[in-house]
Amino acid sequence: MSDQRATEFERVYSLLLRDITEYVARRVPRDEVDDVVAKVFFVAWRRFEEVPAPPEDRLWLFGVARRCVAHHLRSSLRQGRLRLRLVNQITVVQIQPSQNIDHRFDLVLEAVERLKPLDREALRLVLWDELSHAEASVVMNCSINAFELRYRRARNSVRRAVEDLPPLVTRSESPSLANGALFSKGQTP
Amino acid sequence: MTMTIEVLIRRADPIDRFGVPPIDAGSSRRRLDQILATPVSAAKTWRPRVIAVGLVAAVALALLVLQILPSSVDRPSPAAAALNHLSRVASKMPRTETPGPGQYQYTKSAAVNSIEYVDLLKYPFTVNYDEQRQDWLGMDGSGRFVETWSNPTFPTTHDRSNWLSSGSPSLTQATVVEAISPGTKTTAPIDLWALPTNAAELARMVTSRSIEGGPPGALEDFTQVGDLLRETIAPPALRVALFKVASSISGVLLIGPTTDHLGRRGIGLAIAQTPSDPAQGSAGLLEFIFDPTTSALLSEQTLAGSRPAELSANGTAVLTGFVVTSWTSYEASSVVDSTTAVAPTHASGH
Repeated sequence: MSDQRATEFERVYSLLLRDITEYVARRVPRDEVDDVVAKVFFVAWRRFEEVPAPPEDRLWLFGVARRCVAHHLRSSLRQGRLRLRLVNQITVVQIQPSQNIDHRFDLVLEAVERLKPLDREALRLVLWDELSHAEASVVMNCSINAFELRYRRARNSVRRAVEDLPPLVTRSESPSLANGALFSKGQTP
Repeated sequence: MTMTIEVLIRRADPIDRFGVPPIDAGSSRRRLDQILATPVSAAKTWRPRVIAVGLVAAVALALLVLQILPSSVDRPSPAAAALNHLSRVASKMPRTETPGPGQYQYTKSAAVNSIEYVDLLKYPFTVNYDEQRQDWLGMDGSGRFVETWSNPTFPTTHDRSNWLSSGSPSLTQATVVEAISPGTKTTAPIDLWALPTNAAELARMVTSRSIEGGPPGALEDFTQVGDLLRETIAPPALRVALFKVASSISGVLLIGPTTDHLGRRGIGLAIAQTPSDPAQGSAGLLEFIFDPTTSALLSEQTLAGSRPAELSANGTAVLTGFVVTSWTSYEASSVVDSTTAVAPTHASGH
């Protein structure tokens, strides 16, 4: 193996280790983060010829990390270990007094966890992993259009979950909502 | 102090709240050494004999298809004929210029969009809204968007029932106004003037996902061609090539004359897709509606039905039992000089 390949890989490893570690830490139990991060970089080493030049190399590695996390969670669930650990972890989070004054952070985390997996990933990639919408669509391997829909759906779900409950309205105050059947082609809802 | 929902979600990042596992320099170095010591397996190579057998089989199959289906080779499908017509129309449209510094691609659209209300009251429900959206996007990725949500309706009686069970909360959604920061090389908008106008070359770029990322397959090919046709300011030569690329995508159906949700008449072309919600049906379609006189993309919509679309005697798809599950109509698309300037709406289709 050429020294140049190793040198180049070391550069990518040093530069992106923190990003990938944080990405993985947001998605798997803390004591399994190291294992998954190692898998990500093993894959990158094996397929280093496919790694694009900077700055696209970061997105490529996020894509690998996404697949490694998904594979890890699937196999962990099969073994029944993660289910138990997640239950323990959630319990710890819930009984621990929040160190933040703003209790909405707890509601946000709960709402994010309730999202559909692809919607949740769209939201996390942009707001926690700090990718742009275009970058995140590359990582999620979908069109920008499809990504945008997922992101907005996720954001709106969380928004609704954390808003203070608005004043109740009676049915007679909202007559326009009386009928809600599926609308047909060519007919506005 | 108020914060946007994005800021709130960002600040709820578990890494910020609970900390990231420490990255120990020693263990990181050991892991790197382990990785570098791992031999790199040789790339998979196809054996010549396999290639030869594969080639012979492919040629034989192609000859068989040509013998069985001569008419399908000689005559374009109804969908391809319609796309060829749109390609010819596009070639007659006026030339366009790339937006300069300080200029923005302005797009105004109307859509029906869903919001899932997942509050803590155990009765989740989905509401459809009429969404009005205006986008201003510069070539460096900077810009602004404004979206408003109105006219809430429930997609199913079950959603309405859950809304009532939740105490009939207000369904009002605030207007969203957001500035967009300049992007980087990977995040700036696609430079439509830099794309090839040779249909074969463009088709290769679409299918290899080198313009937009995405999964493989004809549905994504069709979606990406639609993405690129959305901006009517794209050079006519590119639009000509895009329609040619679309005509080569397998599985595209001609729906025929279709009226969009703003009452404009156009030509509908669609491709099969799985409905996002299984409750909506087992068969789905993604449809684009084009103005036959200008080739502009007027609308796109998704439809769901209980069984796949059938073909009529003249080759157009019959959508008996299909319902529209989402739609977006494009009202205006133009280059403007600021993030507050607007453009006139498209003329109605015929």
